[in-house]
Amino acid sequence: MAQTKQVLPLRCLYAESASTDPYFNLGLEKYLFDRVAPGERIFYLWQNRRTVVCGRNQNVFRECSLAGLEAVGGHAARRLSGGGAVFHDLGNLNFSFLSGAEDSDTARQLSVLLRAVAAFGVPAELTGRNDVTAAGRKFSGSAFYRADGVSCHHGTVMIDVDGALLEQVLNVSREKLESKGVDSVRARVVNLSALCPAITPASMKAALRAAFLAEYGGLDFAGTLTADPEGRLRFAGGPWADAAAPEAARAALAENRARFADPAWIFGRRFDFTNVLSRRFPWGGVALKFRVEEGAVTGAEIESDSLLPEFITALEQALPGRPYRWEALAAAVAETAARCGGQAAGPAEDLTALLRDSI
Amino acid sequence: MNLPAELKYTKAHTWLKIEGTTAKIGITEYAAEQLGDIVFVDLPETDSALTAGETFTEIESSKTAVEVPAPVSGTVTAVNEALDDEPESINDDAYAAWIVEVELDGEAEGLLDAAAYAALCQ
Repeated sequence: MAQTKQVLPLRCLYAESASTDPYFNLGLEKYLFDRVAPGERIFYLWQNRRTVVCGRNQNVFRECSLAGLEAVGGHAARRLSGGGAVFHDLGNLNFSFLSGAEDSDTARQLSVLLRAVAAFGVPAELTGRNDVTAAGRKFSGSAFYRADGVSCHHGTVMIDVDGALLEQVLNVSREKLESKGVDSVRARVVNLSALCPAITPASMKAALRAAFLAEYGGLDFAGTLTADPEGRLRFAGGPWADAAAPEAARAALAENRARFADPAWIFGRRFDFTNVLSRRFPWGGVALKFRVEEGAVTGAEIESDSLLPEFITALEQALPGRPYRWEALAAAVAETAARCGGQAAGPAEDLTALLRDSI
Repeated sequence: MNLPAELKYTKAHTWLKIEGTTAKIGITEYAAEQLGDIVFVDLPETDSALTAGETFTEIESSKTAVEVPAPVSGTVTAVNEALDDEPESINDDAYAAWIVEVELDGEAEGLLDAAAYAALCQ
């Protein structure tokens, strides 16, 4: 962590992804992170289709409504950096600064954002902890990750994000879910396009590129790397070690993508937690108490004043061992109801709705 | 800089308190100051293996998330579960807030004494 004096300017490299697959894009960021060499600084721009991205140490079940996300074709993902959950769609642009840890300067890196929006005549400022605001509202937040002397500073730029959808998938009440992990902080946000209609994801991308070069010097990037919509890489100029070995790059990216898409990484981190889902139905009140370890139900207790005690008891026994995902638990409900005869069919439907709405 | 003389240190800013064949491991006060307010410590599991140089814990602070490489190889015999509820105790007293206790695999190598570590942080 000692400071070293940088005498020569760093070699500036640029990467961008035309894929909107969140797992691919996070995997490409990790690919770049693992390869950034001393003396290099990589600037990477990327966009995800509808995705809630949780911080590394967050409980995904507490941060978003998975069924709500699924209903709009969204994805849940977990990043390597800390901090809180964010919602991405194609109205959001993500940036990453990758360099040696001693070459990372958060304020200077964020000044690239300030320059880029200033080019559109929008005054912005750094506030709080690494938030960038305009008109008193936040349009960019940052998160950080460090390993092996390399730093990743990445963040969001809200340009034309679907605010109603953001509220719908992130704004969930989880007061009965008890878990360790990091909480999200809510902020008043603003879309840049509302402040200046000329700001679009495409125009902002160009402005950020130009602002990066203006801040860090250099006529142009020493090398660029682009991923096409299908995730194929194209290397131009620069020191890209995999330029001559596209097979190796493809394999590394496939491995990274698999890592970020792995349900065990997204849902199954060792956050043991308990949750209580309760609702009153015409046929009785129910409280489903779950204990969840590494993403699977290890204990279930059901409190109910209903007149179907056999169904409730059988269900209690059918739930443990299942993944803590509403589909898997709804399957247990359906199987149990089928064994208990016709009278359980209605309650089974209601319980399925409860699971879908609450997990 | 507060560096207890009875501890060993590494250039990755971890400390070890070695007693016979076991060692308690934490991060140094210098590292805690650099990280700022610690909000989460990802503890390994008891009985899991530690490999020198490979990540054994990951610490999230208000500034960043870092992976911490294990200073030695061994088997985890205990984890400091108090850190689940009070990760900030590392900021309060980095040398009291141990993270894991390990049964060492053979001799620990390449460790620094307080003076050598202090020189590294200059």
